Amino acid sequence: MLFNSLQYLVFLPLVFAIYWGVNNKSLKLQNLFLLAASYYFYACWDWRFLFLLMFSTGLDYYTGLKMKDASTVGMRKFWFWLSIGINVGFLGIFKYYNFFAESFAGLLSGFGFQANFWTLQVILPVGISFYTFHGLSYVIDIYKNRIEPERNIVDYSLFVSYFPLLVAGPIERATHLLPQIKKRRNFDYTKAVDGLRQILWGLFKKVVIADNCAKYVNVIFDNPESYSGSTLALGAVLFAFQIYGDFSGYSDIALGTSRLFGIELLKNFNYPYFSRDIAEFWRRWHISLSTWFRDYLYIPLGGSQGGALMKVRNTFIIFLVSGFWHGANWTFIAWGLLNALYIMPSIVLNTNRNNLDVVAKGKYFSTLGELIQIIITFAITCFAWIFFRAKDLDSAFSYIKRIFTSSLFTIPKFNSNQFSTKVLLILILFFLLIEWIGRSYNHALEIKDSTSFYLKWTLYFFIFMTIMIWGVTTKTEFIYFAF
Amino acid sequence: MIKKFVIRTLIVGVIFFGILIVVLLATSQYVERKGFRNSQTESNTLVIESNREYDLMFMGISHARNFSRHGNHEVVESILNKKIINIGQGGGACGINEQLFYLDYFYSKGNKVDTVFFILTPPMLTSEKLPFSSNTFDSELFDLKFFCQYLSFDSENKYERIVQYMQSKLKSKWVNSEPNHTIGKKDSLVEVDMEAVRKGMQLVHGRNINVERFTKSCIGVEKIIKTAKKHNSFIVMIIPPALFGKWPEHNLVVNFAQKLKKKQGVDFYDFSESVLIPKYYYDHHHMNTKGVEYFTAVFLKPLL
Repeated sequence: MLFNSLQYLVFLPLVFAIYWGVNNKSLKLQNLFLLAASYYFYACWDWRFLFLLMFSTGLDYYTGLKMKDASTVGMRKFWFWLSIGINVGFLGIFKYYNFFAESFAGLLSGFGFQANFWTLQVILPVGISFYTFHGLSYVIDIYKNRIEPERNIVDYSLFVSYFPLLVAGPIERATHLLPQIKKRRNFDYTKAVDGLRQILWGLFKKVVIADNCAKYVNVIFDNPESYSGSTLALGAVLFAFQIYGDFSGYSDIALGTSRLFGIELLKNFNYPYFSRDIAEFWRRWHISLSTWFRDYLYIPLGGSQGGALMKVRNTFIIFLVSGFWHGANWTFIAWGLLNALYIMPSIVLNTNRNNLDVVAKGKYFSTLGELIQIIITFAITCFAWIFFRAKDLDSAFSYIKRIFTSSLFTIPKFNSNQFSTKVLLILILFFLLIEWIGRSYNHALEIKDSTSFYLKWTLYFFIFMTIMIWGVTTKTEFIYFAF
Repeated sequence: MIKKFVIRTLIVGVIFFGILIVVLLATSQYVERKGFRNSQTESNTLVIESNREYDLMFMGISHARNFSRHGNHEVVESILNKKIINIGQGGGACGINEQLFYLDYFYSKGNKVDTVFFILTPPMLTSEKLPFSSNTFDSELFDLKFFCQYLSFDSENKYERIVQYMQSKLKSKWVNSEPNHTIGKKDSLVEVDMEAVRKGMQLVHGRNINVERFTKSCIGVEKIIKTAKKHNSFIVMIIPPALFGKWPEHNLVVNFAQKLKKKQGVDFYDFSESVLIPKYYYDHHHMNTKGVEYFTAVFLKPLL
């Protein structure tokens, strides 16, 4: 079930009504019901993978308890590595097996050996990277004595499978989500209203911005040889808006939905395209994944404690793994490495924490210097997105080569007549304007109480009508479902 | 507090959707007032009135619609000397199932028709694209009866169609739509281009013909026949001519149609190879106005 489907439009109010109406008196019933709704939500894609989700949940629940009750350090280690091994193993089989088999065969053939490995015809279970990371963080936290294992199977299962975050995050932590699941929740009118606003904005970002940009991006990236350098450059820019609108739109709908149930999820995006340097960008982009890697990989590897060389090594590892997390393709690894190269000067020079606060805080406009910094950061981010979007490394390099020709200085032209370019550009400008105004808030449509009634409702209605008029209605999955 | 939230959300929802419905109805009223005839639009709701009686109906995909497009409607009416309604839908807008819906809608408005020419283009029964097309109602009026009737209709891509149906009424293309006064489609082919035919076939079928889809479509055809019979209309199934003759799924469709002929007591005619003259076509399977005139006079007239 997609967030941008009519099915969800029926599912959400129904779950909301039963959750608060029928089960309001019992936390146990509420959690059990939310879990059942979450499993139904997941089963709408492919009910067979529900068993994999349940197995993964059961495994981490059981090994968590076993680690706690282990009488020796050895047993504790055994249960820990069993859980890690099986979790990573599943991820490896479903997501990476074919990549390694093909890459290894390719490597051997480079040395003159012919090797044939079996490749598997596997379907990637939706959300496997996300729920596996939920489970991993839980098991690691228990092993490191940061948390106690959860003894209630329903509560734990809900932590892993809670439907707003199940298929594309944010990647939650037991320390943040489990206490909320275990605590009696009271309906909060203000938060619920704000949740609806966040859903509205998320939907706008997905169906209006991302899906309309996708129409151009697909045409351009599928036939780069037919376009000028300037059009290809614009294609990369539009992909930047597509992926941001898609993923942050999904996250907004997830967070907004969760607020309706009285549960706050981790913020996943913090206006990344207003970043003044690449380090700031990574503090604002897919925050729940970045912080996961920071806490469970970067810091255990020594973080920034062991001098400049170790910092450089660890940063490269983090970006390499982050790229690989996105998919079994060399393009993602190249994207990760490129970002590591971008961030490296600030790591070495210790300037990576220069821009911690929001740009032009409390002001309407940034300074010219800040604006230039933002544009440069956005430009290099767009350049890296080319690797992320291309189907393979050859295509990415060929795309880049075609950008840097004399045609880069011509007016971009599209062969697509699916959607008016002018309308798209106006919508992107409107989108950027609202994001700029709301950049200090949790989400762009978080409106102050003091805002004029008419202005507020005109804006809501405008966004609603924009979705109705220009929203893409064909079934388009969220990009991050594939990760 | 939750009561307040629910009530306020409902009120906002009703107001927003209420305004939306008003806008949809208003744009439709505006377009309807321009006055369209069957030959001047691809829309069915713009031409299906209430409590009317017709002698003949054409239904199917573009090959049925072609008997009305380009001013052909009046030509065919004059040759056959019959009052005709055409509910066929071209442009990849719909397949068997939505044709059933249109037929249902036609009868539900108290209309009657004596004979239905069901133009059974073979790929209509095997296409994987037609049942999932979302542009089905782009040319239709926003009409509450039509809308509600489709909501309760069993369709494979219902919700996407409904959303696009509403959305299309907010686009300038709809608001600016005008009656098409073109009289006659005069373009014609000189010879058969087999490479173009091969490419076209591949576009329609992909690599293989989907037999599972064909089985589903057969059920749809039977439903259409039942619906027509229930309303005392006589069905004549017709495989239309194509310059290349037979479509790849020709035999499948002919076998099915012949079985239906015996089982349901309907008529069936295979005219696939009846017109093999390039000058009667504007592409390899759509006849131009001269072709329509010729085919109607020589092949359809004797059927009535």
